[in-house]
Amino acid sequence: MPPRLTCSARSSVGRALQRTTASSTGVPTLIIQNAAKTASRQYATAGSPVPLAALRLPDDYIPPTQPPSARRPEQRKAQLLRAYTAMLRSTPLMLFFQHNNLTAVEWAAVRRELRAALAEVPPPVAGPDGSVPVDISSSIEFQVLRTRIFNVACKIVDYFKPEDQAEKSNTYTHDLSKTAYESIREATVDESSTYGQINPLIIGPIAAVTFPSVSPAHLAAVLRTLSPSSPAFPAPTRRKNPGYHDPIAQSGFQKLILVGGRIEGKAFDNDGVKWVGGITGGLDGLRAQLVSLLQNAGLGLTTALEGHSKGLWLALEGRRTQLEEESNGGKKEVDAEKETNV
Amino acid sequence: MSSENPGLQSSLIFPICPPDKTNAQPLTTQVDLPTMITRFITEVNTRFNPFSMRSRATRLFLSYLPPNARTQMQVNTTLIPRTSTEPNILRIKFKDGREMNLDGETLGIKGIIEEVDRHSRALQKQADLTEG
Repeated sequence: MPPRLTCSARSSVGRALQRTTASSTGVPTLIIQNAAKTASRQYATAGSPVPLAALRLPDDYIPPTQPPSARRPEQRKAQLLRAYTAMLRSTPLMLFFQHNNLTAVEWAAVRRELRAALAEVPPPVAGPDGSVPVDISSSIEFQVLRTRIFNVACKIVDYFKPEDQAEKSNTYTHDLSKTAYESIREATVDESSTYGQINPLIIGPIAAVTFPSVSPAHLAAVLRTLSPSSPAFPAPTRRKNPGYHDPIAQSGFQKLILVGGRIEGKAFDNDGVKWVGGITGGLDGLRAQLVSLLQNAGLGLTTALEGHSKGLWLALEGRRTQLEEESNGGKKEVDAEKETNV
Repeated sequence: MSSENPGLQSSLIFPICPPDKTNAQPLTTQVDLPTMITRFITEVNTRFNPFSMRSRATRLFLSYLPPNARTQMQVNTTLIPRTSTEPNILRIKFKDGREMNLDGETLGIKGIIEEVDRHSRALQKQADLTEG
């Protein structure tokens, strides 16, 4: 029977390569004979091992069954999945908005106002060691998500740990690998886990604001612009920011609904997001609050401990002065008696 | 040929389908949403908990309203906090004064659209008769 002509060049080359590598370690003559029988004709030479250099495919080889994709790279699903997993791993703070049929001009207006609001946030001050933190306001982006791919990316980030697969030899552990696919398929989703809570959020048209670091000042600016609520995050006034009250921008803001957020790998609802946005002074502010809390507690403790000994000392001192007065008074009385006697 | 569509250069190396056909179709896929008659809706009141799967149909209903919906009708949305167990609300008012109180959990998005369209079609019929 002649060898099959339909088998692809890649697989036959792979098979021939396997044989040649096996022949170098095992019993050479027998395997080479086998290879001569089964491998495709042009590679099999009886008696002498196949030269490896001849089997190497050219670098620009494209298998005829897998022609290159015609899609733009950023629209390919594989690329999108990798982009989303990278984003989820590197982004500590994300806000999810449901966007209901915004037109292109409304998107442009919304993004313009967002950029304007972020530009007004004061740049970070230098720390005590003189290092100035990176100003993140230019890296905060408002992007529409492809929800299905994003859902899968969330699942991969939460349930696929490449280091768990390390003992399996010869397995790929990147996010597009079969291992990743199998591990997220086997995973049982718990309702209380992060993915279990994020999953219902990612329904319908969803856009995300991504922050490269947790900065409550920037978060507050975004909340004031995109989902203002009167006491804590008021919308900019018409006099201060007329562009915000532009009818196109306003109709865009009306169509955005803040549904939740993902902060430091945990799901937060509206109130939680607003709480984080309300932290004054950012992380340093929180630290300062903690320090003052601890100091006050220490002060209270020392005063409480001091109080008893102080009270005791006061009581004893009072008694001593009283006794001294009494003894003095007794002397005086005695003196007075003496005077009367004389 | 390559000057017509530079994005397809790589596929022209191995043309699977004739190039004139690939040029006819856009590269991005456009999902056609089933349309809903929204002309006769005057007010939409929704309340939902985004952290619950049950709010799905209610949320999707909002995304079915057209881009210019807020000029024709009033849309109010309230979000329930994550821990609360209050039911979702979807109330729709029509031009003839009829109020619909739909339960998104049981109907689903298709059921909601069907219910709304059923009434809207009747109103459309009346409007056509009075006009013509």
